Amino acid sequence: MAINLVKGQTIDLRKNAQGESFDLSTVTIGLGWDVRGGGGEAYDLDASALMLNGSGKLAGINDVVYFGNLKHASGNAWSNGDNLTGAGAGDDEQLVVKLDAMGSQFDKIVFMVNIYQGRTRGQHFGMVQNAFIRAVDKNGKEIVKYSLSGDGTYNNMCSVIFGEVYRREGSWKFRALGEALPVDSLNDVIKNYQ
Amino acid sequence: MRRLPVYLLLDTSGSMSGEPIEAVKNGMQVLVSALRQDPYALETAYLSVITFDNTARQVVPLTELSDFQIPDLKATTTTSLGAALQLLAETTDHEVKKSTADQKGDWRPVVFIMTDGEPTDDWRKGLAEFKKRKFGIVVACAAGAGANTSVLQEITESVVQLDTADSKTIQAFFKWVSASVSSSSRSVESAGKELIGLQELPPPPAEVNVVI
Repeated sequence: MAINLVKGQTIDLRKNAQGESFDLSTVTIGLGWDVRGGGGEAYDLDASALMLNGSGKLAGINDVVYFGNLKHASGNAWSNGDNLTGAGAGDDEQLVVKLDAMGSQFDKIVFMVNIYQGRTRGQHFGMVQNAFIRAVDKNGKEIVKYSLSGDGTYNNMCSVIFGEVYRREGSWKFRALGEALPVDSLNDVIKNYQ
Repeated sequence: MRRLPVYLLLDTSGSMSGEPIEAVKNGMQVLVSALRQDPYALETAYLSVITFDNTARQVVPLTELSDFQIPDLKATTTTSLGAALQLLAETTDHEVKKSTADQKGDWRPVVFIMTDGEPTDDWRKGLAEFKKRKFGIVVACAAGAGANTSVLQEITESVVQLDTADSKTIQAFFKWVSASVSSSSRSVESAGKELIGLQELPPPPAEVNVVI
């Protein structure tokens, strides 16, 4: 049974309080959302993974898995593709990380979603509902899920840091974040990590 | 809009003269007609043709399907495959829009190479330039028993061979290319996923053998 987190809460990915253990050789981070009805241009939400060092810094754009770099050079992180609409149930985008194989220069992986060209199209996360991030282990077992609450803090926000995984005493932990930023461009988000 | 660039690299050396070159021209006609019926391809696929004989030239720049016109091809002289790869690399540098963190560019180009012989130029030099760029799926087709599949296997892991370079077989190859471009277009348009391996394309017809 997966653990549902609240904002700010953390969990050890390797095993949970129920004594279940998980295979972290390949962890799939699924991100999902729905856009509240009404016409207008379709929302194009993009999920990205930022691979950071021990000081929480990004060495360069090559350490970001995004639509322009679907697979990290190490082969230990990749995207399963760019869903342009958010249609359908389940994960809209998936980022896969091989946590057990992750190079020691990476201590934290931040998972975020931005609304591509959201500011020019007048689109924002206040119109996005049922947004979640979940982690699934190699055997398809869901380890943890965090559903972002649809409160007013997401109005006029075009990027959300959904969550992060980070090293802690030889294991990996997951932290639910749900932090919103007004910028719509991945470039403006990653500036905060450089 | 993110385009799916499709590059056809076609051998127009002397050995292609007669039935093979006519079959290639018909094949392109079949390809374009089929893709124009496909709403996904119409939306996203752009087509370019590069030919190679004693030199390589881009006879059709990257063009949307509705404007594409079948080029007139003549088969003469030698097989400058290396020059074709070099030209492909340079052409994609300026024709294909790259993605940045601020802007979504085009999808990675899909490439189909067809040759019936041995390269006669310094093909490794062209290959080195080609390898520096990022492509989506690259399929190399050895048309007939005379084509050197080991050279093609250095270009890509997706190599197919036609037993004969006759008109029926070449038609079958182009039909398969068409189906492959259709499924690639569908994949990027509906799932945002670029196809990368031969196994993700529709199964080739009986006339087209996968070289392992």
